[in-house]
Amino acid sequence: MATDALPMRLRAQALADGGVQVRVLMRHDMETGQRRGEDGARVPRRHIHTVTVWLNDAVALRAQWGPGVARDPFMQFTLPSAKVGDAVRLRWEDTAGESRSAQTAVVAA
Amino acid sequence: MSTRRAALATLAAGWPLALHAADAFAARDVAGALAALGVAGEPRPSALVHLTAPDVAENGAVVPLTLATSAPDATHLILLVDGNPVPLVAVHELTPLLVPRIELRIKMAQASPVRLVVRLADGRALVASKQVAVIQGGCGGD
Repeated sequence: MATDALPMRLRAQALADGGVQVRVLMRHDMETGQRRGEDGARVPRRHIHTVTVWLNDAVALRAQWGPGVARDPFMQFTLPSAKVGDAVRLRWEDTAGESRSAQTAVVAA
Repeated sequence: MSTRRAALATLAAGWPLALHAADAFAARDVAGALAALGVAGEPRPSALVHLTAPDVAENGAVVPLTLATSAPDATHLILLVDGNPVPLVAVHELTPLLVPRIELRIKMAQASPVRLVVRLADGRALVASKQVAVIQGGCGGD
């Protein structure tokens, strides 16, 4: 993965009107298996297939993805019951068996 | 128990929400993907499903969407693009810890309907669709 050297970016910030907004930028080529490389050969399909988000120790979101999610996947969502200082953790797994995790603490608005 | 409470109880039990999507991602059309996900019957168009997508995507490699629902007993947000080689793009399992509104960027190979299917606790499904034009396809195919 060309973008693998860059770390995942995970931010969780309290909203003025309650709840916590989570923004994540994962680093992954999300190869569809359709694209041809410089040598003309198809680049094998390889993509994130599962994303799990925990608020403290509870699962808040589980996503299953195909190759149709954009390269370097960006996702944004809101956790209504989260508070400043809570831990938000995210883990992805890809079709090659690789995984990455990141954790952050909720910061104030 | 209210429908909402029942849905949350089902969520807490972790069943039947762990949809096994692998077969659905292998499907080559929308109907096949939904059948593989166990969605019962034809999804019913509903104002409780909120899909925000551009009218025209300049670059099919990055198409920003917002997927949301106000259906109280929603369990999953299921995103499909008819014109993609793999029509099923994403299955998001909702929990009580999450506002059912997710922003996500996807790929589109060509102009196509984008469909957001909301699965309900009883297995029925609602849908909202939008046609999106694509200037340059984003799946890297020939």
